[in-house]
Amino acid sequence: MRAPSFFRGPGVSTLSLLLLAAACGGDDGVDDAPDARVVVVADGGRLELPGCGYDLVTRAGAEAPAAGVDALGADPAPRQIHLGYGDAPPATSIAIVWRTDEDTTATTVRWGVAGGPLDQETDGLTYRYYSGLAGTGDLIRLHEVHLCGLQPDTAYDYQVGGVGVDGTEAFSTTATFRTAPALAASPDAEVTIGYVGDGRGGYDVWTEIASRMQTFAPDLLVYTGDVVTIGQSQDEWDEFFAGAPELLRQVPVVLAHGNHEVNAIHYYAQFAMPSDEENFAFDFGPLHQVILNDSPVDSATMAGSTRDFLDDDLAAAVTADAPWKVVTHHRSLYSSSTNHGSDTTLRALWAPVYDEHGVDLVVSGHDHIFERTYPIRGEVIGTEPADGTIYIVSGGAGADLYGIEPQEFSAFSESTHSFTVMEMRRGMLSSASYRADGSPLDSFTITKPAP
Amino acid sequence: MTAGAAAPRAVAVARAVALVALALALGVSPAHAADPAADFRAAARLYADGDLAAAQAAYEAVAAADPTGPWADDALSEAAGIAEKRGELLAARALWRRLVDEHPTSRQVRRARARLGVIEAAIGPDGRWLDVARRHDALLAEAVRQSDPSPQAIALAQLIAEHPDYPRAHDARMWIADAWLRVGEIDRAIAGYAAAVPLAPDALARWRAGKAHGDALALAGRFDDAERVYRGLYGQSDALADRAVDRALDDLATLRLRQRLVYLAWALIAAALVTFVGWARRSCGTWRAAARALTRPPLEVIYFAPVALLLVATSLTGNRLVERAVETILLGGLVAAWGAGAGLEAARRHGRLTLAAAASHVAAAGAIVLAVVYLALLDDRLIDMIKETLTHGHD
Repeated sequence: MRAPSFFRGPGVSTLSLLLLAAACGGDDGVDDAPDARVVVVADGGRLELPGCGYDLVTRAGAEAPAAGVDALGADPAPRQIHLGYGDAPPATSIAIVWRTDEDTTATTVRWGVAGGPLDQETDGLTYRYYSGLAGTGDLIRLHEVHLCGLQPDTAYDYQVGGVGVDGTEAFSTTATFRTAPALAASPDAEVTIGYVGDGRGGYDVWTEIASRMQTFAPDLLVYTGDVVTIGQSQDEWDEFFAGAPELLRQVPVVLAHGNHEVNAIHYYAQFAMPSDEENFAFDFGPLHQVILNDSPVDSATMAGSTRDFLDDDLAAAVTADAPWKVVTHHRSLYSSSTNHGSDTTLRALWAPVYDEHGVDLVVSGHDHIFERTYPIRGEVIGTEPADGTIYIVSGGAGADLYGIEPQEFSAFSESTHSFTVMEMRRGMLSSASYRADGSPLDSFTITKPAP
Repeated sequence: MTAGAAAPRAVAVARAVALVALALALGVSPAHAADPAADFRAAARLYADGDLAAAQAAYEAVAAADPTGPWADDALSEAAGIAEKRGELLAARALWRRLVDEHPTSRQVRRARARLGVIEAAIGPDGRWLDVARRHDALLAEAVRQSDPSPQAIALAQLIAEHPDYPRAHDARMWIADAWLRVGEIDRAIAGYAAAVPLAPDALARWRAGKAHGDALALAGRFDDAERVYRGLYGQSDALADRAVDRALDDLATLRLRQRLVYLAWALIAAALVTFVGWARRSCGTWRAAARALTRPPLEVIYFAPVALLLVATSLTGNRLVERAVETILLGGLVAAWGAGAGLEAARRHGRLTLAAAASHVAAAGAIVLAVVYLALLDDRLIDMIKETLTHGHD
């Protein structure tokens, strides 16, 4: 069901990037500091994550991960702390990522069961990438720690940071995450999933949506792509993190790659996601969530390896009796927007697979609207959830809105900034969508007979 | 203290007994009375059927029947969520509080705390705004899926006017302005946002209202006013908010430029039309003759009209196959026209243009076009699709 190894990118061609940091050497012989010539090889690489048994792999454009070393720079305070997943199940693991100044290499998480002492420490890996295009701009220092072997459905407190060579500590304040429930042990557990996308360029709306979303306390955030307008614009990524600091350090986020991310290293470096971080799937309680990249570097893969992955994964999910199967990718197979509208090419490729394996929902973005279709199978529009897959366009996290001309497949649509919260447990899925101001927009419930 | 504590407990027990009785009356089978999982699912069915009151009672009964059992926290959570949906905010608050107090390690506690925060912010710690909050939520619920939420906007404005100190008054004002924007009442929206700014409860809310005000002004084409509002937002929030203002001002500059280019485009069109008329007047000598000349379709129009019609028809189909076919036909037509036209020009220059030569050129060009049309129609079996459409109609 899941990809066999943690893999953060193909072994693409070597790209050695040099940063020449000119030394401020004096010519009077007093300042005799040697020329500081910093060479950063940004070919990517891999290294095993402590305690998890799989590798963290960085792509070309970022340097190879290295074990954290006790050293603090001038500004070691952890920031942009956010959660994700590696290649271990969400019921027993978490990935924690944060950023510091470039010189800080200490990479440690202190953690413990919520309410108790932070009596565990796990070290992680660190790496850098360039904030600009192809080796230009500042070097961004990231730290990544994966905690594996956790108890399912358990809250943990944690702090991130590290210790300097002189024993100075620089840790964050304490935050809390909770592992996903394990379906085997808790077959009726309920999870709350937030879906949102296309915040690019709409920092003010994204901050409002993030704060509204927190009032529903989602267990997982699924982003439908286009976080930023230009994938290599670090300023925009910083806005994304700045807009939702509390949400992102409590709630793991997985993303579908949007066309505006342009497969930039910024996207792949800053988030911890399973498998190749493009096409992957995982179980989160009663949810089997599939994420697909519909704007890959090689578009031929959409009809090839991506479709094969989707087919194989969903077939396995059916066998595993995953109660709710949700697929998320960026472009919408069905959309009433007057801007992009339905992507019929993608529909021809992937909708038959959704139909074959009984996917319950497909949540996408790309069009900056909210829309929910009637259930659809084989392009035939039904009325009952059992008649097919419901397609949701959730592309209203802040980008300028698009117009709508409702099509016959549309059960509800509105050109508005919005987010969606779904509560899922065996037998019932309740979805509620809200405008950015928190007012109700749309809701529906699907039931399935419990096995 | 002891007596005070005992009394609520007795009330709670009595309430639990009553709820169990209610749930049984509502159809939660007695055979399942000792099976909280079955009772929970029965409550879920009631919810899915839209019977919210019965579902809430049934969930509460599950929690009451086995308060420390594995279903109690989920049942309380479901009951509280439904109570919120029903506008029963006091009941919802009590249920969320029970969940926090009685099941502190439940995965539902984080949500319970978040929802308690929302409810208490809405009704106030002493619950004095309960009725207003309930009416507010009811109006928002009424407006869901309404293409025209004007009645709810008017009613909500009345409610807020009566209770200006209501904690969610700012949210309500912003919703009303958004609603006016949605129905195209842009002046009312602008007025709504403008009114919301000075009444916003904090700096961030004031900044957001101001930004929305500026956006609405820009949408209305009142660029100078929008710029003034945007510039007034600098320094009101953080650096990232200032960057959002930078972006809004950039967008505004683009809108201004586009608006100027629109004026220029219309001016060019008007000037060209006037020029055409002037030429005709000068050539014909009189306005009447010029009018006659201008109403008679010239040769270019006779050639161009079918092409234009074809392009319009293509744009209406929205079909990629048809688009491709039209591209092919137009390219083929261009090649044929070029070949035939150049040949005719050469014949005319050398004085060899005869009727037979002209006819043969037309026939050759026509043949090329027909051949290209046929090839285009065969591409990806477009011809079958057209046949099917003609036979069975559009799908």
